[in-house]
Amino acid sequence: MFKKIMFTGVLLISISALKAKSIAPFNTIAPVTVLKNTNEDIVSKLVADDNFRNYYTNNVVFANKIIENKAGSLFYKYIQNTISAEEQVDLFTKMKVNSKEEFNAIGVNLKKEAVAFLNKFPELKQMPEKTQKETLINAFGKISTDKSIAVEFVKAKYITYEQCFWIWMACNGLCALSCTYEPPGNYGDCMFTCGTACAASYGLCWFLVAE
Amino acid sequence: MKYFFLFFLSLCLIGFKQTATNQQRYLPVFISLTDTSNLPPELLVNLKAVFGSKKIKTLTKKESADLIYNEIYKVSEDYARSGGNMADYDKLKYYQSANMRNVGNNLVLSIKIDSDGFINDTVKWYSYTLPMDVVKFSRQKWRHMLLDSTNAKTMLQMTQSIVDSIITSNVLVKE
Repeated sequence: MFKKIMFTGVLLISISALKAKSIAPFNTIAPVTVLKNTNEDIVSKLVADDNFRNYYTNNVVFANKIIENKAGSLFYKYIQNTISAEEQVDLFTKMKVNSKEEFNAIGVNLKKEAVAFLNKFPELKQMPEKTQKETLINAFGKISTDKSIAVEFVKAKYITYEQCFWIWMACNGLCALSCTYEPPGNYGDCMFTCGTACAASYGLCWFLVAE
Repeated sequence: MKYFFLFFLSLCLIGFKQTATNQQRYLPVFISLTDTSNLPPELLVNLKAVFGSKKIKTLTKKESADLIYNEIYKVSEDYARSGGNMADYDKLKYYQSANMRNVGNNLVLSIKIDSDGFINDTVKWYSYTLPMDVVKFSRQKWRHMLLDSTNAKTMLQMTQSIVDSIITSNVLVKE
C-alpha cells in the first residue's frame, strides 16, 4: 500500500512539473489562432517597433487580454514577431498591478498607443475604417473597461507557491479516495486521469503566483 | 391553408431537430483495461478499430491527459478571473465540478484471459466521464455480457460484439 502511494506521488509530481513548465502566458489565455484574409499579408509587412515593444513589455498582462479578444488577432501576430516566448514569461512574472485605478490608467494609455499604432503603419490604414476600429481601438477600449481583470491580479498576488502545493496535495488526496472505488487493475489509470486534473489546478495556481 | 402550412413547418422542424439529436457524436473514449496480463495485443487494436468504424474516437493516455488538463485549466482560470480564491481548494473543486465540460469517456473494461490464452466468457465494463468529477464520484455499476459461439467466433467478431454491447448499454456520453 505504501509503495503504491509513493509511486502515485512520484508520478503526479512528474506530471505536475512537466505540465507546469510548459505554460507560457500565451497558452494561458488562448489567443485567436486563425488569422483570416488580408490581416495576414499586412502583418508580414509590419516592422518591429521599439517604442511599441517597450510599451507592450511593460504592460504584458494587459496586452495578453487584448489577444484574448477576437479583434486582437492582428495585434497578436505583431507581438509574436516582436517578443520572444522567454521574454514574455519573464515579463509576466514581473508584472504588478496594485489597484483598479492603476489598471484603468494602463487601459487609457494603451488606447492612445493603439491610435499611435494605427498612424504608424499605413498598411493598417488601408483596411476599412470599421475593421480598423474592430481590430484595434474597440479591442483596447473594451478591455480597459473590464474591471474584473484588476481584481484578479490583485488577488493573485496573495497566492504563494506553498498554497499551490497544498491545493495540489488536497486534490490528489481526493483522487486517492475516489480511486479506491476502482478495481485494483484500474487504480493507476484512475490516479493518472484524476491526477492530471490536479496538475492543471496546480499549474494555473503556480502560474498566478506573483513574486 | 395557412394553418396547414404552419403545421407542416413545425413537423419539419421537429424532424430536423430529431435528426440533429441522433447525429450527435460520442465523446472520445479512453479505454482502460483492468487486466492487461495475457492480453493479446491485437485485441486492443481490434477494439480501437471497431470503435473507429462506429465513428467513435479512441484516446491514448497522453491525448486524454491533454484534454483533461486543458479543460480543468480553463475552468480554474475562469474561477480565478471571476474573483475566486485559488488558495481555497474547497471552493475551487465545487466550481470545477459545476462548470467543467465533459471531454471524454473513461471506459473501464474487464476482459479476463488466463495464461493459456482462454478468454473468460464474462466481459464487464462501466464508464465515467472525463475529467473525473471528484465531488460526485462514486462506485460505478458494472455492465456484463456473455461471450459464446455465436458472438465470439473470431477475435474481430468478439470485439465487435463487445463494442456493440457497450454502445447498447448506453454508458458512453455523447457530445
